[in-house]
Parts: sequence; C-alpha cells; structure tokens
Amino acid sequence: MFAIKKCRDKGGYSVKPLKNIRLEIGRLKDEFEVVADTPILYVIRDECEIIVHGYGELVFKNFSDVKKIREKAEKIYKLCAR
Amino acid sequence: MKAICLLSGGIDSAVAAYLMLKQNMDMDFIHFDNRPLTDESSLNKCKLIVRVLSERFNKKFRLHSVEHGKNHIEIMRNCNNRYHCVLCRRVMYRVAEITAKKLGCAYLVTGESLAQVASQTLENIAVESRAIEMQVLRPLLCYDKQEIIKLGKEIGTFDISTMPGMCCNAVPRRPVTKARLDLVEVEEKGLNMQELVAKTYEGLHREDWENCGG
Repeated sequence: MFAIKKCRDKGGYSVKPLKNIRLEIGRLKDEFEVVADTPILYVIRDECEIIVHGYGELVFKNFSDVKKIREKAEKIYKLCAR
Repeated sequence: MKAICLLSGGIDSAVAAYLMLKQNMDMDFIHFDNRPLTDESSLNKCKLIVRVLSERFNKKFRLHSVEHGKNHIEIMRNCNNRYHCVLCRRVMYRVAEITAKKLGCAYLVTGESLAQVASQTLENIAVESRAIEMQVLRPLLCYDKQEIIKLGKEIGTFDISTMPGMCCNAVPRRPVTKARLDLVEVEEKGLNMQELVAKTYEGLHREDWENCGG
C-alpha cells in the first residue's frame, strides 16, 4: 500500500503511497493535534511532527521508529482515504 | 560596502557568502526558519557556517533569523500553489531589505544559480527582484553545481551543508518557471503583505558568531 524510506536529504522518513491518491486532510483535525493547516498540507503531532501532503506523501520529522511510522501511516491513510 | 546574505544552510548560499566576503564585503547573515515545514537542522547548519566563515575571515559575523514558516502557511492558504516559491522569495526579499536597512547594509546577497531548481529561472528571479528596491547580488548565477560543490569543499562549508536535514516541504510539485509580474501581484493581493512582512521582521532574532555552534 505504501513505501517507507529515509528522505533524500536524510532529514526524516518519507512515506509514499504506491498508487496515486488524494487525501481528505481536513479529517486529520478530528483525530490529531494540528500544528498547521492549509488546503494542501497539514502538520500534525503524534509523538512527533508529521507533514501530511494532500497528494499522499507523509514526512516524519526527527523520528526513526519504522514500526511506529508504519502504524501511524496506516492510521492516517485509513482516516483520510477518499 | 556591507551586505546581508540570505543563508539557507545549503551548499549554495554559504559559497555565495564566501565569494562576496573575498571581495572585502562586510556582511550580516539572515536565515529564514521554515519550521514547521522543516526541522531545526537548517538553522543549526547556518550557525555552523557563520562560525566557519567568521574564523576564516577573522571577523565577528552575526546571524539573524526570522520565523518564515507562518508565511508559508499564509501563502498556501491564500495563493495559487504553483507560485509558492516566487511569492515566498518576494516575502523573504522584503524582510531582508528592511533588516538590511536597519543594519546599514546596501545589498542583499543570495546563492541563486540559474536553473538548478525549477523555480530559479531568469524570469522568476526577475519577478522576485521587483519586490524590493535594494540591489541583489548573485555571485553564483552562472556557476554550475559541480563548481559550487568544489568551492564548498575548499572553504569547509560543504560538509556542514550536507549534514542530514530536512528540505522545505512547501515546494510545489509543479512550480511556475516563467512567472509574470502582473499575475504574481494578483496572487499577492490574497496576502496582507505589509502586515506579514512587519510581523516577520518584529520576530528577528540575533546570534553572535561566538554562540554559533562549535
């Protein structure tokens, strides 16, 4: 469903869906603490800051627990899938 | 001759600063902190770069920083995403110009070089420059990436610039490459530009070179 890898600049982990998707990012405020919200991306906090792009990419800042990244990504995609 | 250099923490702006400093230019530095769209690594890199340049030129440089993440949020909320980079730079230039005038600087220095990224085209650079009156010096305009990297390694900033870090998540997937000033100005009407710039400048933070990393 998605691929997890270190960002190109090694500054965080990126999660990208394997197929093109659009996320209903507005739903994030129902379940997560919102740091910043815009029509095209949200920054949320769930143990770490996560940038959620409307086109489907998730960027985990300063967080390297891949197992938890996977769990959090699944939760976000399940919540925001169209 | 005094300038303020827009320092991102990346390879290019550090080398641009070095080239102008070699010409005996006096310099202050300003970093635009893009959190929460990045992490703190860029600011930390800037501190280290300022320290390296201070030691190399035996001068006491100052690094200023402002919160720019909020500006990205406002641009994303109110403007066409394709124009994001151009609008972002126009805000940065305006804030840098105010800061420069307060510090007695007559020039801005940036690390732009042509067509390295989609947003750095001549057309876009021309539109960005029109946001301000102050002269913008771009010593790397015609350098290619390999030349810049070579210089960065020689002066000791390359390793800092390439430490793990997060790039800006506000960059659009399809940025405009031939911006038109009239269309950019229409987009800017969606922002309260004066207030945005004033509030950004009010939050200016200064770090003297002794406190810059190490």
